[in-house]
Amino acid sequence: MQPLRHYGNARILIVDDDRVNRHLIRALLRTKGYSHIFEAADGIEALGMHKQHHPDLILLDLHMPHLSGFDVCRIIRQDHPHEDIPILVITQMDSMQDRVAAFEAGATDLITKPLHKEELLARVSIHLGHQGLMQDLMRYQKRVAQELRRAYDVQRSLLPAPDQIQGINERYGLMVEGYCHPSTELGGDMWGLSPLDDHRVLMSLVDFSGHGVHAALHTVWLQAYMGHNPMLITEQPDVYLAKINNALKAYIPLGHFATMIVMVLDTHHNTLTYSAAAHPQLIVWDDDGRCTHIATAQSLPLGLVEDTPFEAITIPLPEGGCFFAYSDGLLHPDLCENPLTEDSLNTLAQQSTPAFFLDLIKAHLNITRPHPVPDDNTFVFVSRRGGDTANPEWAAAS
Amino acid sequence: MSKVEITTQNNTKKITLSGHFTAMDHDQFRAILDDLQSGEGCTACAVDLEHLEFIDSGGLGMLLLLRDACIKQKLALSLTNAKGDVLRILDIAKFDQLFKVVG
Repeated sequence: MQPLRHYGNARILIVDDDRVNRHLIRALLRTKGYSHIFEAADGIEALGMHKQHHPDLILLDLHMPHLSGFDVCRIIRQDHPHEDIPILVITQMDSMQDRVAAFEAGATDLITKPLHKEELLARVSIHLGHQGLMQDLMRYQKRVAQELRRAYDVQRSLLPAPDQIQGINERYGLMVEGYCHPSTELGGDMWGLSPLDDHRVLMSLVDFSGHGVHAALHTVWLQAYMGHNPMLITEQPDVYLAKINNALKAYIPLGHFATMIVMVLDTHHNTLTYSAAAHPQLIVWDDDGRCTHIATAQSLPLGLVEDTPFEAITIPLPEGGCFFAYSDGLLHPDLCENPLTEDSLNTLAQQSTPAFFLDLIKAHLNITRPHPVPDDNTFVFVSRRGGDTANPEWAAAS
Repeated sequence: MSKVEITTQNNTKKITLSGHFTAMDHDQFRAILDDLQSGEGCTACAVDLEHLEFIDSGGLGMLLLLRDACIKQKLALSLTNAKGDVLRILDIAKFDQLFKVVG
């Protein structure tokens, strides 16, 4: 689509079987500086001209041999549904039937015969102006959509890659599944995995307030901050949160914040130590598939108050045990027709095996068919599958 | 979208939120923050949450902006009548450490 830098550059197609009329209109248009003018003497020729020259505006007579103006209008609208070209139909003042039929066929506007120079030029100018604005808008929309798609690719690269997850699974005897789906093109949720040593691995899930571009930029900031300060990663999740909180407090604008949960799994001592900042609860199952823990250490969100204290809680997590952390988008009341509440989620966790619970969550989020959701959705599900032997329940579920 | 109303009673600006208070209400709530500056003679601001059914992180962020505006305007801010999910969300975020939360 070439931009209409100024209207004089506009390509105008005049369609009329009367040669005198065509020449009259061409002469009128030239008085305003329009020079890219094409002429067609009937409907069939008009369609060919349209295909060949891609005019910016068509002035169309209705009654012509071979193919009428109504048909030309209809065919262009049918064949090019996304092309919003102005078609100005030239018709008799007294023909109400033609006027109605022309609009039904897809005409943009009418110009009445006998032609008046000022009216014709004014209508052409107005519709080319609209067309120019529409083209600007479409170009802008296309550019932004492309940029957001590229930005989304960049943001996705911050999430653990499949080979990294596979490496963690093999190293620690785990089955890790993470899901992160933004509510718009970009989101403010992120999850991560960081090996600490040969028996401890740190997992985190962060949810920046709001969603969209600004929230996504915060996730990039956090990733860059952690990348530049790798020594911040510690086996103490409360200390880890405290450091991020103070860094975020210095960086994040007023009214923005993050919730976060940090979990350290110790496969030697069979424990899970976690700390949370205003984050939804953590759900834990033992090696018999019984839900043993639904709670969370709570504190203010990150980035609001300097030196906020965080609490670390350690619970048993034997081989075969599982845990599930999620962002609050899962409980959004507009997520679906039957939204989950914290209570109903807890009931599901207590009445289901971990594998079945995960299946229910996936079905609830409809993750096989990504679709628009009201808030970013992220979860991390971790199963200690027990050495190299996969948890049968888990294997069945996956 | 939330319905946001602001009234002045005695020396108190009363902001009533109902429905779902989310990031979608940002522009509307910005106008409320601007209105606060015209509250000459007011000494307090009370946010009535009785009819609020849901608040997301964007909504909580706007309450933080309100808190900042009230500090600047020297208005005593309170969140009143929160219940159900809204009370739970405020509780998870420990907003009672930042706001006076009144039952």
